[in-house]
Amino acid sequence: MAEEPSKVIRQFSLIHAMLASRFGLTVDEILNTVDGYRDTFDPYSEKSLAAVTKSFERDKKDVRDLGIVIQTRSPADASNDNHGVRYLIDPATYVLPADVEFSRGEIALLQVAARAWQQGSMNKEALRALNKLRSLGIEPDSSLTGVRPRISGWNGAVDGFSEILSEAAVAEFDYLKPGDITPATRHAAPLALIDWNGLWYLLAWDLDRNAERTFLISRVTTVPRMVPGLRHERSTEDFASRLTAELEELAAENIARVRAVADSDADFRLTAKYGAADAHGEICIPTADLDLLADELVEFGWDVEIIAPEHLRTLIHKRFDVLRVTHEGTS
Amino acid sequence: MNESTGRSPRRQLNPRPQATDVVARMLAVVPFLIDNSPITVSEAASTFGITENDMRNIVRTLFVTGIPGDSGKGLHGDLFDFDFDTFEDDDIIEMTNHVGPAETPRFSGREAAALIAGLQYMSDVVRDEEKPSLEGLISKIRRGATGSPENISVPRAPIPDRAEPVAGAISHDLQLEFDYLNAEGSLETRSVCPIRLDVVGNTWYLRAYCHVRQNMRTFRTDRMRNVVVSSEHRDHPVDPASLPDTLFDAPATDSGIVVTVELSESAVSLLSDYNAIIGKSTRGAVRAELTVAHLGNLRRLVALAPGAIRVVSPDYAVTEIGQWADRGAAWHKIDPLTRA
Repeated sequence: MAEEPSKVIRQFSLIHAMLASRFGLTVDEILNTVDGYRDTFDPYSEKSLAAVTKSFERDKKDVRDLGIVIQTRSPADASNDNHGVRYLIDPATYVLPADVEFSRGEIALLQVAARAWQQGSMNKEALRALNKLRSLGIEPDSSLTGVRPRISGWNGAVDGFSEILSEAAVAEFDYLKPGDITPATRHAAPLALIDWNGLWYLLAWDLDRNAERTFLISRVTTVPRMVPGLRHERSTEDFASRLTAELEELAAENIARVRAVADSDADFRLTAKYGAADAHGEICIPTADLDLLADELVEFGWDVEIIAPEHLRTLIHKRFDVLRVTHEGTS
Repeated sequence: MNESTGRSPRRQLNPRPQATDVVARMLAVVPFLIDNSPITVSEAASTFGITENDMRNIVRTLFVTGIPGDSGKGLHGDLFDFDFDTFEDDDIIEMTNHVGPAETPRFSGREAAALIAGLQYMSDVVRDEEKPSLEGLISKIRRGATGSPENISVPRAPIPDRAEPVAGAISHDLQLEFDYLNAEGSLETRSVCPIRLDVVGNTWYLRAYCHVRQNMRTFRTDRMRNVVVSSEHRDHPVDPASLPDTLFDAPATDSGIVVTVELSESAVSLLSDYNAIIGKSTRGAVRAELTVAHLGNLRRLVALAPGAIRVVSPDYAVTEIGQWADRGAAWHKIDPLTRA
């Protein structure tokens, strides 16, 4: 390994060095002994020391991002600099606990679950988890190949929020409130991301309004950016379950009533989703958001009639109006 | 906070560096090699779904890594070692020495979140008696993680009544018959050999070989009625894993309509199920070409985001959408209770 060692070798060796060391390694020891550092490190050059220390700091972050716990031990006479700090990885926190074992059926289920993530950073996380499952060498039983669940709608915005969520940071993004013509810039600390009824929602602490707010991801018009240097510590609450419960409660309290032409596409699909029509021929649709329901009903055209609320009918009318205006002029 | 309001934050989100991905893969591969050595390169590669060359590169990297010995140089006992000749001559990985833990690494908090959310989402898909206890499995994933899973959740996609017999037919290897409302709005009886049930968001699709059309077809389960599981066994042994994820295969060019749509860049993801050819972006807008079986499908597409997707050609499709919108606007202007 005389040639320029790659970052792969450096990070892999660093992890193994920290795993093998019972009492931890100081930065000096790491720079002088671990492959990838020792080959490039010239102890007589200030510049080289700075460069190599910087790559150690970056590697440490990358390793922690993999979910590996790096412990630090400070010497008894700890001064303010990091000089005597020792770094180690406890093998007990690194490997799967002995009592975590999976059956062939469980492996099959987990593989399908991991593959449900199609896009973005969660797809990457799922693939990493999948590799760990493969590493166990358990042959999945193949009874689940006839199903293919896919989580939809995970786009650049959800990806950005999920990354900001795991950094406990604050997001800046533009948001178009229904009814508004132009989006407004918002600053919020993500608390939870949920996919509810096929759409992604963000629960966040809105810093401008000093209150919790729920955002519909499809109304976020820019890729969220992390506000530099700003963190927002969250409590350990299960925000995702709370948001789901809140949306469900809201939907149960707001029921729209529609009629569908018998045997039309609207009739088939709305009754399949919301249940059969009542004695008046009306299908009752629980909804947390009339704008979303209007989006859903547009494609059915005049095969649906909106009985209530009136505002829902207005919203659908407006959507057709937009479609009409954007498609006139060639006839 | 106030200072940064109104200013554009400079830091863009960076994807994690690629070297770390390779490291993550190596950390998973090593315990497998320790457990299964000797093993052929091809078998090890297929276990991890990577190319044989990628697997050989992992072994070559391991050849040169180890932990620092007392001398600061890799001593024999501190390195990964393989039988070099079997590796070079026979493409077999035989590990003769290893360092570090022989067990699989724990999941990170985000990895655990991905698995748990995936499990919750599909919990209704697997209703069989053999289905392992989900609760138990989720708690095992939690215990096997180094961090707490993040607040990312995907509630279950409830299996619709009409999809239940479909799932049953697939797991019992039987054929199906049902009435199907096609995109033109007419009902037909179909007899199919079901291959796979796809759940996307909360819509369920059956991928099946259709005996009437003599081809693979995608059916929405919410457009089916009178679903009957036949006593005949399946007769088209298509591997479910071989089906592409794109739901709607482009119809043959002689039967489909090739349309061009213009849409904002942010709406491109709406086309993901349509096999669209996406053009270059000009000032935030892109043009895409796709083939639809009939204009009904095109209405559905533009209705996904009124105003954000505009049909550009052919002219008769633009006219048709315009007339449809005109009639829809008029229809939803009137209170149905006042309609005669």
